[in-house]
Amino acid sequence: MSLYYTLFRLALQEAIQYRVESAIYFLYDVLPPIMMAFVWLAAYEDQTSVGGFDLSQMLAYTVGIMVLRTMLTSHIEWAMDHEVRQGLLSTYLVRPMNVCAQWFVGELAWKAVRGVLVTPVLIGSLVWLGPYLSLPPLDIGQMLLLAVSVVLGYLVCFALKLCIGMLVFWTTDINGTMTLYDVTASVFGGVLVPLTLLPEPLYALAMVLPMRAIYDVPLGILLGRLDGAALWWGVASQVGWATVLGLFARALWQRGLRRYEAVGG
Amino acid sequence: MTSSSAHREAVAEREATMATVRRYWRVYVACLRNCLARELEFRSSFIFTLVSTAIWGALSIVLAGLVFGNAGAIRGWDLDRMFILTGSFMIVEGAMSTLFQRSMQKLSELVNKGELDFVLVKPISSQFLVSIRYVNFGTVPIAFVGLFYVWLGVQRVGLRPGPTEIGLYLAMLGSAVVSLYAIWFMTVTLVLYTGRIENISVAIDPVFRLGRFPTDVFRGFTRPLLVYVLPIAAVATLPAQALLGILDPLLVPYQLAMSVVLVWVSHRFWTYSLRRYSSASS
Amino acid sequence: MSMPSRRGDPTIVAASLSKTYRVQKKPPGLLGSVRALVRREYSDVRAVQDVSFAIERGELVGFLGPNGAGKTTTLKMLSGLLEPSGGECRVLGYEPFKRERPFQRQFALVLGQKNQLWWDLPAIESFLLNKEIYGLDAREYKATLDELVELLGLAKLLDVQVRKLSLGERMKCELVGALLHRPKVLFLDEPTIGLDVVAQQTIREFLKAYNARHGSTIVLTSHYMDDVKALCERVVVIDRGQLIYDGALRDLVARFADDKLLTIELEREIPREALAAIGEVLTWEGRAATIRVPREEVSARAARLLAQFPVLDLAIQEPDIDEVIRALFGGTLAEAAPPAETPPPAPLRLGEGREEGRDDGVTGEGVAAHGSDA
Repeated sequence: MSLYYTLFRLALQEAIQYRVESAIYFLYDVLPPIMMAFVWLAAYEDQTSVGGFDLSQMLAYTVGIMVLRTMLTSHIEWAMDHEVRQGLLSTYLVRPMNVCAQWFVGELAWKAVRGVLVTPVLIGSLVWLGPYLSLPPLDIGQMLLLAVSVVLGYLVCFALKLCIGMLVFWTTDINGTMTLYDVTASVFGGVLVPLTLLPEPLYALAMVLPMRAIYDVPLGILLGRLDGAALWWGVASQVGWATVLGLFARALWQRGLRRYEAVGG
Repeated sequence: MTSSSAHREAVAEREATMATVRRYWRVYVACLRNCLARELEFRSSFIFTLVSTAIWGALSIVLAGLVFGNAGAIRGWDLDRMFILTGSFMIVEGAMSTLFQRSMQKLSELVNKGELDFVLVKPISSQFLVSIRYVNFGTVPIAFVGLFYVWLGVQRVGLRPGPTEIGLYLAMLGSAVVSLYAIWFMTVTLVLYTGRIENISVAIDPVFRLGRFPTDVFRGFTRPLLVYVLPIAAVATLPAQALLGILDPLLVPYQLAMSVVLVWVSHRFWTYSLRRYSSASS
Repeated sequence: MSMPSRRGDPTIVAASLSKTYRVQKKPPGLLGSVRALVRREYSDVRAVQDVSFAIERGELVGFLGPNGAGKTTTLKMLSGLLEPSGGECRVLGYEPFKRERPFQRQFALVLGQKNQLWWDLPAIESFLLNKEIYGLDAREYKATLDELVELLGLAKLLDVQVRKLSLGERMKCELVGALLHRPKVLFLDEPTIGLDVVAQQTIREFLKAYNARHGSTIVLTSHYMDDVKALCERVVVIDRGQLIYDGALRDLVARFADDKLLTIELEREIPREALAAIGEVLTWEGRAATIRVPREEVSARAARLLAQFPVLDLAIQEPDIDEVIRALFGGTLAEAAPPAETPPPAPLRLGEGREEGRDDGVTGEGVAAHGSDA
């Protein structure tokens, strides 16, 4: 246990050293939602509902997605790509430590830095948009569920990116796959605008894809739009995706390792 | 000094300037040639990039489609007009990526690897050489898809732009490219102060992308910021307004002047930073 | 506008040249990192202190010294890359730091292990670019290129991509690229570092021939004694930023090139005085030692060593520059603080990655990385 704590501390030091890089990447997660907030404020001058959201909900969604994008999006596939390609994996494998756990702990450190970055922005956004927001408060049960859902969301994303990262064992370049993922996530993930804006057939497709389980479900709980059966179904899908993707990642890992060793690392 | 010798001096000076311009042009062409040769060497990868950037670009309209498809018109902009705006954004995006992106990336690498020295000992403007050295032909399709969207938008809105509108349109696009270059260059120049920042060359990208929506939606101090201080409105909103015939005419000389000023500032900052770099680090 | 040099002025002059850097201290540990965010501590590094010399036209001079001694810094001040903190220098009558175009057209810089040639293209393409940058006339360019290619034996390599060339071939191409504009002054920083013995030899011979043929002034820095022995009649020795010797190599060499070093490992500890019978004991650590013996007697002394003592391992080496300096000028050697900040170690890369704007593409951002090279 202290091993992982040390690892976390080291990774945190590194993350602090790379704080400027982190801040620059952070802008990618934070500026688009801020822009969308302006867009919605202007859009709702002429109407009261867009995609089934009223202004308050839409703004809450936007601020929420800003925070969730920052904190829940895993970027582990790049680290994996880099490390496997550089042969660093060999040094990890000889250590008595679970490599995936190592990646997980490492990323938590970078998330900690992001947390520091997003907090003032969140506060600023709430001050700015406060007058427009009027959400029904959540009771204790819902808040707990929200917390659980957020954690699950991260696990889904982590597992998904793990699977993508595993491709490094088979291809020379994950850029192509990442592009495909980005395109899919941006349309079907609700990463900037709610999925309800999608035309009916695409919306149906989005509901069965894993990206939804990352951001859309927790946001649904926050906004109180998911309740009853839909709520449990949403959380269940998160658990389901996390499990399925996790198992898939494990299978890929075992296959991939064999391949890695076969070519001498 | 007799008038004829003064005249001869003036002529000689003009010829020297012309010779310098020609030399710089030839250097640029040599760089273009080298870049193209490099791309063609990895032909299949190049073609893949061309196709994927074209598809990527084509999907750029989706966001506007989702928002405006559901919300109707926002501050006088509807989906048809957004085709023009989004297309213009893509033209600038394609131009910036193609002309400068790789050079900016390489610049920060150059500094970190200590290879900037090679540029500094050459008898040519270092800012020029580091800015144009690498051209990325792979992202050109974005500009072309953008152009298509602009054309599409013009049809849908039912515009018939005359030479004035088109002239202003091109002027605003050109001004945006120049202004953005200057700001981008200044951002990357910061590596001379900060040392290794691996993603410094993409730092302005998220800010640039604020131009995807009409700057009319911004309120408070943010709108003047994006119109008068940063060249973000100039990227898409102002050119689109030019085509639509609703561009505030005073903005034209303002943006053009801003481009000139920004480039001048970027040059001063560069030369100042080089001095400081060479006296403060090894 | 600087004065062009009058006939009789030395080509390169340095007067009390100095360079001091401020380096930020980065304390270790997590607490240290956080503290460094708030309060920065600096230390001053005196890379070059009060160095003066004059080099005439056509000379081939070597700057010798251990790593971190300040030779590269001095060279960079002469090329106009660094601004002197004190004193002044002039090359061809110009103040290098002003980087005036006429000055830049007359000198060239070659840095060992750093490339100015385009990696993925044949060298010839980079040469063509240089031709345009220096504004060379097509005929002149061709004549110079042909001459250089012939001297270096590169005829078949011009169309091969630079990344496919061996280190030695790459350095030769770098030299060609640097000499296309027929510079009057050539600065080379560690040109043979990392090269195999044959390549090192070729480069040395080339530089010597080029200097003889064209009378260009050549200054090279090296920490290899062999470079300097082969090329330079005159050496300037720099250690810890200070000039400690400027004169004929002959005199420097006479004391040491006649010697060789025997580096031995012993089975058990042998007292220093016992080993002193073989030769001058330079270093001694109980079971390991370095002994200096005259060159002509190397075999005899080595044989005696092996016969008299329980030697586990024996190596015969040329004295390196560190030895020369240590022996010549006393004092401990270049554990001198390196003038450059060592970069942070390669990151664990556990968290963020090389996103390069790749986030949402469609709904947001990121074509920035699209089509960018690996």
